[in-house]
Amino acid sequence: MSSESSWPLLAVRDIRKTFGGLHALDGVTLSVNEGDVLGLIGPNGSGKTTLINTISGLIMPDGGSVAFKGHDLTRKSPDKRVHVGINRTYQVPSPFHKLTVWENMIVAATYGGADDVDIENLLRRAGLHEFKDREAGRLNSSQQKLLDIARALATSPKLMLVDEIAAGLNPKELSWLAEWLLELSSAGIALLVVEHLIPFLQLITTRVVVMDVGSVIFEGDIASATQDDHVIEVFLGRSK
Amino acid sequence: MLKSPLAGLAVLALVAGIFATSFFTFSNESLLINLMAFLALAQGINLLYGFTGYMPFGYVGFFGTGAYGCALTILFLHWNPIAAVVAGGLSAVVLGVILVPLLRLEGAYFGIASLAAAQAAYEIISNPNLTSITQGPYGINLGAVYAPTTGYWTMLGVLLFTTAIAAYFRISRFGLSLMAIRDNSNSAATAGVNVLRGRLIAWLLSCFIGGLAGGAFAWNISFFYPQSVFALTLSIFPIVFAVFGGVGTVIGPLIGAGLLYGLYDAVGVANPEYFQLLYGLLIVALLLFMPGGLVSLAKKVRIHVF
Amino acid sequence: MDLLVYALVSGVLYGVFFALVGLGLSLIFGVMRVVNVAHGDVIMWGAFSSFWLYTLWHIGPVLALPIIFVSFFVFGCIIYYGIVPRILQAEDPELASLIVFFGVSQVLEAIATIAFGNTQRSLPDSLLGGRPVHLFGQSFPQSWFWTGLISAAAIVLVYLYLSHTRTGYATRAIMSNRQEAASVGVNVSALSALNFGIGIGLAAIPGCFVSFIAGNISPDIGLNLTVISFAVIVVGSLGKPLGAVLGGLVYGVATALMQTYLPSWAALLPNVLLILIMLARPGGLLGSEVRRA
Repeated sequence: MSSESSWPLLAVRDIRKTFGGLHALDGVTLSVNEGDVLGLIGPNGSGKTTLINTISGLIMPDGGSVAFKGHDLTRKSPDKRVHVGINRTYQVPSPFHKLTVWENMIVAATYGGADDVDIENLLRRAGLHEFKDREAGRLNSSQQKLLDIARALATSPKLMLVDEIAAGLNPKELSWLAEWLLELSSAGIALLVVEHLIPFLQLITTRVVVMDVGSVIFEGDIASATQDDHVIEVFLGRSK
Repeated sequence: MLKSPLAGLAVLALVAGIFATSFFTFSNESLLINLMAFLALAQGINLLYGFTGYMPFGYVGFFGTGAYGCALTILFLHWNPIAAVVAGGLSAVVLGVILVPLLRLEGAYFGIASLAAAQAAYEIISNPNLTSITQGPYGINLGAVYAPTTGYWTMLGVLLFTTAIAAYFRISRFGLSLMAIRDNSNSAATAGVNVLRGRLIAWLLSCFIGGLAGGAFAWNISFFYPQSVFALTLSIFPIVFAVFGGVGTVIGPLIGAGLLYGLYDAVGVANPEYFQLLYGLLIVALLLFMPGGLVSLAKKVRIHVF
Repeated sequence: MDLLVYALVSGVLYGVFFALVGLGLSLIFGVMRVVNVAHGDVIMWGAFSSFWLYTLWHIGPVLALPIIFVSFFVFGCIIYYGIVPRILQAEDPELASLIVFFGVSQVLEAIATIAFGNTQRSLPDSLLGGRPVHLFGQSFPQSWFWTGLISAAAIVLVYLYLSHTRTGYATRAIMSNRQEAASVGVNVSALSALNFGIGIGLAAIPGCFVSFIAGNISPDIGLNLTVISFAVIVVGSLGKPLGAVLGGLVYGVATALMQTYLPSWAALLPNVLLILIMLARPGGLLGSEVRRA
């Protein structure tokens, strides 16, 4: 037990990934500890989603390692990673369109390795309970995002990777979502949140990692990130 | 909501009842054999296309391989024909294992590649150079083991096995996980589903069923040419049957095959080209206007279809 | 050695012809991602059109070309407006197009069988020069040279269309990105119809020569021609029309070598080639960037 707790929950070391000559990830190192809520920001094309895909196992890196509680996962398939406690949501919400909301949850609860999940309760929390017999493809986009979260939670994750969930949600939905994420955090789930909307990020955390062209260029709190020359250049210099 | 196993048992009992009574009351056994073979093929295609989204245009490759696998174990190893039918199914599984890499292809590419694979299997088996093994283009004669009664029941067994698998897919969480993979394989993986394993099981089961149907068919007709068990119509008909009835359900392909094969038998046998015309038009119209098949009509009026 | 020379020369001639066989399919796939599995049946109809034009009115294959191209172009436009826009709305348009055009191919074959019967027919070799050509000490049917020459001319015309006309630029813009082409004012729908018509017209042209290359024609040759066309354009990278030239040459020479040295296994070639090449491209046929992650 003690040896396990001495490891960070997630340790990403020197991850590299090239797509046809383009360095999408160029030696990324970061770690997430239990209970952390960590924001991940950076301009388009900086490699954030590629990093999330690498951690969740949808993409195999060319080099480097991904470890969870000290156990190496670098070559493990996505479903194995779900079983140790990593799950994610998608930038483009990705429910099983032809399955009902309820069936979406059943698949995750059955195969995600969590036996005692209260699906009813999760759907109620996500505000989807009244739609449980509806085909997921017929939900609106915000509802599909919520289903993504609920489905991920049905596997009892210890780390959630949240990929740009805020885009397209209205302010009321945003504050409600932030509240939910904070609740998950206080229930002991670590969060790595990729986000463009800094104000949304500020609702749930103070700590961010900033990426640019495949590398981490800043790690610290949001306030000092906005003072950092390199970060300012990356975000403002591009728009000139 | 998961569906009750009772519905599955009811469908099985119905199919068994119909074909058992027909055996004693209906004199045209070869028609029944063909119908059962087509029902099994339509259901085998349904297992793959309806539950995993792969469209096997070359499904006939497994039927033909099964027919030859069965025939050659009878001729060379002198196996009991029932065991040989199973061997036919297994030889189709072997072909399926060889073709596993095709599962990396998506949508249309898988369809084209599977068609090419079926053609290749035909070219190999019918090749004159292999006459000493497969009789090449000259056909196979199983007259020595012809046994219409056991043959009939074996074909019915194949059909019931196939229907049972489809019912299992329909009511089980495994079937649900296959449909999840079909809808979005990445999401399925991050819901904890082993995508590769699920696809492999469905694929090899579907191959096995195609081979069993081919084996039982070969035994029942007892003399056949390679082009008659590798005929492309043996892919096209069951695909149309399955899509017409509605894939992803158990009864859709059965209803589709029952209705359309009946129609074929009434008008098509004597004029196959007119029937081909009708089928072609039906495929086009179905995909454009009723992609969910007959069962989608029932769904519209909120009838739940098993 | 003589055999090798014979195989190589006939392979190159076949190759140019097969490049034209694949070209129309490739153009249609490239522009609208429609998998036209009825391609071979269109070629078969081109072959029968040429056969009847000669049999009924003594119009030879060369004179028949413009007539056939224009009629099939019109036919293609009609098919386009009847079917394609609806397919493009489907959940998986490529798979939907595959199934629908599979139906179309059945219809085309059935009508041909009903109209012409199942008999094999052929045009006399004398229509394309009669006397054999002697080259490197081997003799080749003169019709093969005319077939190769006319095919090459048709390919050059397509190249000029794509690279030197405004419509051609716009077509290439659609091929590289449909949305972006639409956003800069390209009329995607009209151009798709135009190119679909051209693709069908282009499929009918090699039909005029099938009888000379394969010896005869019959209503059931469509499927084989479709598989060959796919092998050709997959070798040359699907959706890049001029890749079909490379694919045609590879396929033509490989076929000629097989027919010379391993004749009884030659029929396996297009199927096996198609499967192997599809599998050898890890990102599917379109390369990794287009493959859904």
